[in-house]
Amino acid sequence: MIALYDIPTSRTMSAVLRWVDFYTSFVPANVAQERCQELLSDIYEQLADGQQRELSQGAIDPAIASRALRGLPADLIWSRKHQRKGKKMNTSPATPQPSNAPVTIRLSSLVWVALAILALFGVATSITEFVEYGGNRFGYVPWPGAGNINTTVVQIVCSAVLLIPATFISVKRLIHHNARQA
Amino acid sequence: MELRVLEIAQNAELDRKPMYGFALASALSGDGGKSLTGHGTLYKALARMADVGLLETEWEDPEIAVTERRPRRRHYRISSKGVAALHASHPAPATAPHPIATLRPVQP
Repeated sequence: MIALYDIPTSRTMSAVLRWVDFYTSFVPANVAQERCQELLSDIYEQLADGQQRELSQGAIDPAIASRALRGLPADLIWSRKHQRKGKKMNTSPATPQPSNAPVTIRLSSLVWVALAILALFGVATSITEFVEYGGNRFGYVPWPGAGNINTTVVQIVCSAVLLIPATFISVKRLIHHNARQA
Repeated sequence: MELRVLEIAQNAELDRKPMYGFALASALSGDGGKSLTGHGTLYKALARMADVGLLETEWEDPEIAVTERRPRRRHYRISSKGVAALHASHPAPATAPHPIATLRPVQP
């Protein structure tokens, strides 16, 4: 990664650039490099602009983080699109290879990451329900089953069942991608 | 958003100012840069517009970036196709050839 010139880096900025590195690791190298450079330039310009306008680091960092978060779905769609493009270019449609392998559902690495985050959120909210509200959040039931201890148990079990494979596959693929890039 | 980008790119072209990602985001926000367009949203739209030929892109000369001690910018310019698309979306006010004939008579 390119050094950030005269502007000091921050944890938010590093996190955003790490996210850029992550989602571009699935796309062809030339496309990834252009995207990384463009984002680096954008973040640098925003920092420089903030400093020129005498904004505090505490004001600039949330603005950068907000832009990254709001653009997150578009980043994933962009990455998926280029991933597909790259795969199409690497495989010749004229010579399909017959296979006896069982039919499996292959999900994109980004989908696994999204599932892991979703499952983590499910586990976290159900634990909060147990710890803080004893399984009945507001003392009333807004819809059948809500806030019920049984519903919370089902939620935590389902989330945990999803979290384990999703985390395992996400980490495995991340290691695989990093090894391929090294 | 595409139309606004084309308008901004055309104005930049007229003012002979280079247009790049952050400058576009600032111009798009229209509130002094308080709520800039998300990174993903902006660059996905720019890539799509470049793919269909509405914008032309060019990386800045690395020497300039080195001299100014900052990362290289990717410049965006409106293409002839982009200008045509912009004009098509904002048709010039019609000067009716027979305005009097098309007016309906005023009822007393």
